[in-house]
Amino acid sequence: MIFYRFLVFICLLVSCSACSVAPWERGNLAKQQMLITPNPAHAALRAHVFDSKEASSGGIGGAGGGCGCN
Amino acid sequence: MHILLLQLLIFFTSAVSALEENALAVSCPAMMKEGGGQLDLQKFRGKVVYLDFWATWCPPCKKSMPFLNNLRNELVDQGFEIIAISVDEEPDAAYLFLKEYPVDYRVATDTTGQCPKIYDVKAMPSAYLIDRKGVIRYIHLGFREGDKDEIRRKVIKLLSEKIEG
Amino acid sequence: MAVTRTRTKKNSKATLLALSSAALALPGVDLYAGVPASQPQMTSQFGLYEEEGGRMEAQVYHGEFVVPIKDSFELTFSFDQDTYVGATPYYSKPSGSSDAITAASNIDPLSLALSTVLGSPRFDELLLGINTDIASGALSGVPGIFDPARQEFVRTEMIRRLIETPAPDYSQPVQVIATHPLESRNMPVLGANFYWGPVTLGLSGGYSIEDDFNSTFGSGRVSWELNNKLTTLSAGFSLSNNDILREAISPGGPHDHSTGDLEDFEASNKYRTFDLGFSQILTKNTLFHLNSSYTRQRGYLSNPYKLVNITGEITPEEYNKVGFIDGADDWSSVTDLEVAGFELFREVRPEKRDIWTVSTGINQYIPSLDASLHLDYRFFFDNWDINSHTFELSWYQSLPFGITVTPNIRYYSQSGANFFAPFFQAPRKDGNYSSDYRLSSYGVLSGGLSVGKQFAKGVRFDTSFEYSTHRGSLKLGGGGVGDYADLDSYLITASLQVDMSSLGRAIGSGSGHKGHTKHAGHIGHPPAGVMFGHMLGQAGDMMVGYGYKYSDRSTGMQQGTRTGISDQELIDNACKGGVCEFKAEEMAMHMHMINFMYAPTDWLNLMLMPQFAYKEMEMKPLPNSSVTEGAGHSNTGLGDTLFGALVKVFNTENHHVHLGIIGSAPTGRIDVTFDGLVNSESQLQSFGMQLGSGTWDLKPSLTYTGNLGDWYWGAQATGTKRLQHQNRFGYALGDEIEGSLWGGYRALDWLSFSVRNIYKAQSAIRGNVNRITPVPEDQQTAQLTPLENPDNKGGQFWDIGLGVSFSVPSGEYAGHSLNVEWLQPVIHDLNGYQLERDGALSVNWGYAF
Repeated sequence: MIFYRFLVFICLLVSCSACSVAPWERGNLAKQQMLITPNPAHAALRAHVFDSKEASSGGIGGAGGGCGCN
Repeated sequence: MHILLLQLLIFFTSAVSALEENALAVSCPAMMKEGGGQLDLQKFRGKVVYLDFWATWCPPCKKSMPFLNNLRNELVDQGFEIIAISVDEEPDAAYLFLKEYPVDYRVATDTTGQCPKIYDVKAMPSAYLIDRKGVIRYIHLGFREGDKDEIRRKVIKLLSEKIEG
Repeated sequence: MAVTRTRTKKNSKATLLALSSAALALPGVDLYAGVPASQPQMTSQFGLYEEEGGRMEAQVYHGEFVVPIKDSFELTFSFDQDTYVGATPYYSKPSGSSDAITAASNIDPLSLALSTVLGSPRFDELLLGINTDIASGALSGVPGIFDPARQEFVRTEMIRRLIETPAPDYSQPVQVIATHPLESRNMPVLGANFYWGPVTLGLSGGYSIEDDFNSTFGSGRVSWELNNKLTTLSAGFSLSNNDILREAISPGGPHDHSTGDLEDFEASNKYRTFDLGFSQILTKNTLFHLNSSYTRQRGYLSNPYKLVNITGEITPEEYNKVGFIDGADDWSSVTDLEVAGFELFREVRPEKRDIWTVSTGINQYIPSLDASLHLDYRFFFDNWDINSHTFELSWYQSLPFGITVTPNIRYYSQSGANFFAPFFQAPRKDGNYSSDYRLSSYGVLSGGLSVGKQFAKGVRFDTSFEYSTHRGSLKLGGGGVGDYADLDSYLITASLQVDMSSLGRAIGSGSGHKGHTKHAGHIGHPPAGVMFGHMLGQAGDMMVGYGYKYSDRSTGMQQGTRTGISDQELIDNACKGGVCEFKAEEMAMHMHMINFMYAPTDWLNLMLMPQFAYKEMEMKPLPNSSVTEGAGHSNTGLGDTLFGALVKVFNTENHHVHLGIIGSAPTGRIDVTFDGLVNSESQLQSFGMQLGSGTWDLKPSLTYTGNLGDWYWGAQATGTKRLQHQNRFGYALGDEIEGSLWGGYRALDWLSFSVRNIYKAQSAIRGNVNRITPVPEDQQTAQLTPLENPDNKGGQFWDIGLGVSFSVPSGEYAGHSLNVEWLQPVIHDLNGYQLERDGALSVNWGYAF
């Protein structure tokens, strides 16, 4: 049940017409500070340290955002 | 549930058509660099125009610039011109960039997003190749290494077309 | 009674395993959907992690390259090296309980426990109500005049009392910390990314190697941009196969005559991870992302160096039977666990672990401030009953001059594994036990700050500091494990990213950079073995470079100009205060140097050169030694760091003279020991095997270069002057002077050859060494090898260098050059007895822009 509600939420998110961003409006999203991982080497090192000192691991990073250029 | 799935399907598969090829190119409110007021495509009638939408935050756009500059200088005597419209929302971004990496072709800026909207720009960069009569003949989305030859070929082809009377 | 053994410090390598197994948890390739790298890029990063009071220290070096091959394809390569040293918790116990542990499981823990009690105040407690004679007889196992059954009864009773009195304070666990030796881990990873329109595919694979842990891993990830590139879906798969080894040898090497053999141990496990990702652009200033993953771990998942304290696993009667009567060889009849001491056993974790994570986050840009806010949350749960929440908030603030400042805060809370306890008051039905505090219930709060600056020419520098507090009391909702394992730590990082092509400089952003004329293909780059022989021409120019020097000496011993020295001669003459027992068979040295140069003006260059050394040596016993087998040892780590300035004195089209004022900072360790521990009892390795000089040194140089047509030539006089009389161990390496002369010819646009003549003189080591072998200072240190004798250092060296240079004179990659030189010994006159020099190879690659 939760999973279906969740799927609906995703679909709404995706098909939201008010959310539409044109290709030329991606200037702010293209900035390095707006990437999911602005500094990959630094993020990897932090993850390495936390994974050694804690029992949890994974779940960082992701693909998407950016300038969306061709 | 089904309605939403349908909505999703439609959204993903719909292909909205670009400003059509074989339509007349229109002027749009972009300010020409170095004075010269607003962009007026009428002034370029009789020339082959490569109308390029670019931005300083778009790496493929910047990558295309040396190539476009060379192409323009090579063919300018034959009546070829490039007009590059920067869609940067930051007012001085394009000027600052061009101060360090200048180009010889015409540059205009539109910080309000009206020009790309009029041209229904689908990707960054987008280039509209306009023939001597002012008709959009080719629309080129994106820029990759392999595109160079194709662009050059198309420009030369359009340059070879004579205007009748 | 068995020999009393104090707790050996050498054998627990707990953290190693923990840190290394964490390496596998690293995600494979972190892909940005859709846009190829566009430009070749190099990133190098240094990290320093320290636990409070220097309990544990780790240094992490990382270098990576991204090389686009075509528009749709790029290769990536990265290399990591971690070095750890320090102490970690070995196990924990109730405070007040006995404290006797052995390294090996075939040593009688009971007699060890009892023997530590004999003569201590506790003995009287154990004796309460028991006749002293019977008691001593019972404990010593010597059949006395007393009835054996009565002796046994008494003994069993005493064991029971040993376990139970004084009543340990079960409310307050105490950690037992053990130091472990210096260890290194190396991890190369190779990757490739493919870009096809909206689809990106990333593949990577690599391995991680250290003394007792090897891992081979690979991953694949695909991402798909749709919906006008507003939505990105991704899926990934990664796997790793890991081998855990524990060798049955004392880690100390030939000089370590202490006992304490561990049993051979070998195990393996496999991890498989599947993950799905989703991201959506909500507004032109908002990005939302969501990820979930499942990881399957199967195999040996425990840490073979960590122990647990269990009461009741072996009863007093069983201790008596196996410990005294059967001779303490085999505890398998009374327990399935590996016995490591009195009430101490090696931990056992389940052989299956299923892990789920769900993480989400939002990035929000705030135009009026030119800043963005990142909020991230991750929920983690597994079948060991560990649940965790991670909340993270970062604020990326852009400032003028290309500076970005990023404060961040992170809160982490986890609930403990169901088989965790600081100590166990009764055995567990499922047979799983761990006292590793990292599996307990606690919270961690961290705060940090990063600062980055984007320079012109596509160069970016970042540095960060983050402080973390691990507290049992910080667990979300309370119920943490208490404060016995509370810990503070911090992490410092510094990184440099360079775009490697002229296009890259155009594509990267810059600030305040004036027009730059193309760097002309410079003729006559000095041969690779010449240091600081080349200056940047114009203000604003920069250079990054990598240098490598390799030498291997294995031909034999030499004294003065005589080679092929016999073993007998070495035995008689080479060691002061005694006869030699060992000699060096082979010594190999690899030096890696990273060079940064910047020209603030036309006549001044500033430079910084950190160095990394890898040295290895094989030693062999001489015929007079009682030891029959040789052994090898090696070190790796940061060397001394060079810094300074080059000043242009004279410059015309054909001639150039510059002065170098370079200093050497003693950042390289000089306390490397044979057993890897850092304490005052461990024996230092020889002078040549240390990673630095231990002193601040000055390296002045004067260089002349000239060129005409395709010919070029040059000369350099340089030297090293130690600015300190002695380093902290009481010695200083010898001063050096060196002169070289070279000539070269540019055969093709991109290819040149050179010949060089070098003379170098180095004096012997000065000073009396305080600590090669641990004998009192006033005694002449009895040297065991020629390597320990300071007189066997230095000499005069005449070499010939043959070099080849490659360069990229024009085009997109203009400014890159690669130089190689081989140094061939001609005549060497060595001080004392040393390994004969066999030549050296220098390679350097530079990118000037």
